[in-house]
Amino acid sequence: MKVLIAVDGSEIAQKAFNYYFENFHREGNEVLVCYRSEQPDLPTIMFTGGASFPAEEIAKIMTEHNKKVNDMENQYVMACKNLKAKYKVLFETSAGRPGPGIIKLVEKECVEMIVMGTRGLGVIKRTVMGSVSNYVVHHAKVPVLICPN
Amino acid sequence: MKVLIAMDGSHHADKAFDWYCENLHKEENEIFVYSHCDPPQVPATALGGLPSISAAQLDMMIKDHKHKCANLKKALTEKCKVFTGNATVLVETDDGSSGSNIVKKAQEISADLIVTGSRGLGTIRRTILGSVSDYVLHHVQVPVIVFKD
Repeated sequence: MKVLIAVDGSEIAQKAFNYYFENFHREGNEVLVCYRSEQPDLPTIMFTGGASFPAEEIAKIMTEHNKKVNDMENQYVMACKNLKAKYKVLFETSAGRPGPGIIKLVEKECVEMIVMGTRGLGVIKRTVMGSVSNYVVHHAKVPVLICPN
Repeated sequence: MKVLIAMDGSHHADKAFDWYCENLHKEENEIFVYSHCDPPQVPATALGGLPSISAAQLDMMIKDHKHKCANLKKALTEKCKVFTGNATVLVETDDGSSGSNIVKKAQEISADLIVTGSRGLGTIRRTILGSVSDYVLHHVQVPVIVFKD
């Protein structure tokens, strides 16, 4: 079975990953770990000493972001290797929202089950389920395993 | 692990059950198949306090309901024969919605996982997530698998 685990750097996502491997993983399963990262907020125009395009600032932010994503990617590659699972790690930063990105990936890769946390790095904690897991559970055409904290 | 599989007699619930058995079940898991049967709908008394159905009709409604529950229990028990370990079938009628009863039952038996379909016998088939699975997702503290087909 092809399983997609959607992560985002949050502790809940990490727990969902571990929970899947501890309780459901079977030897033949292929695991896709995906992170559909949103582009970080970039400054537009700085008005210090005339309107200047903050190229340096933007480069710094993007470099930091890419490093964080790369580190996370390596962490999951190592985890999958240690668990001796057949795996693929698909981390991508895009301007699109994560929810639709995950659904598209599920369809493209013919994933048969999705695993994700109830919420992630999002700030608004009033709701039980975060916006991304809410979107995925409503729009997925395959079974979804939702893991709370 | 204690697994509660919520079923309502629908074909979709049967598929969810089969999918769980084929892809996720581990022999040591303890299975609880739970079906909440809505109590028979007794029409409200007409103005003036006179019941709008006869005692005989009411009797028949209750008998029909008991018969329906017994049949469902038989069918679910038959399905559970596929489990070599512990499997309990619970067909119960209680006040409250199916969603809230599933949540209550899961707490009662200390379920570690809930398996539910994404739509059942409800008539509105356009919705992408049924009211029961939606309720369960938002009210439990344990992982939930929402089955889709």
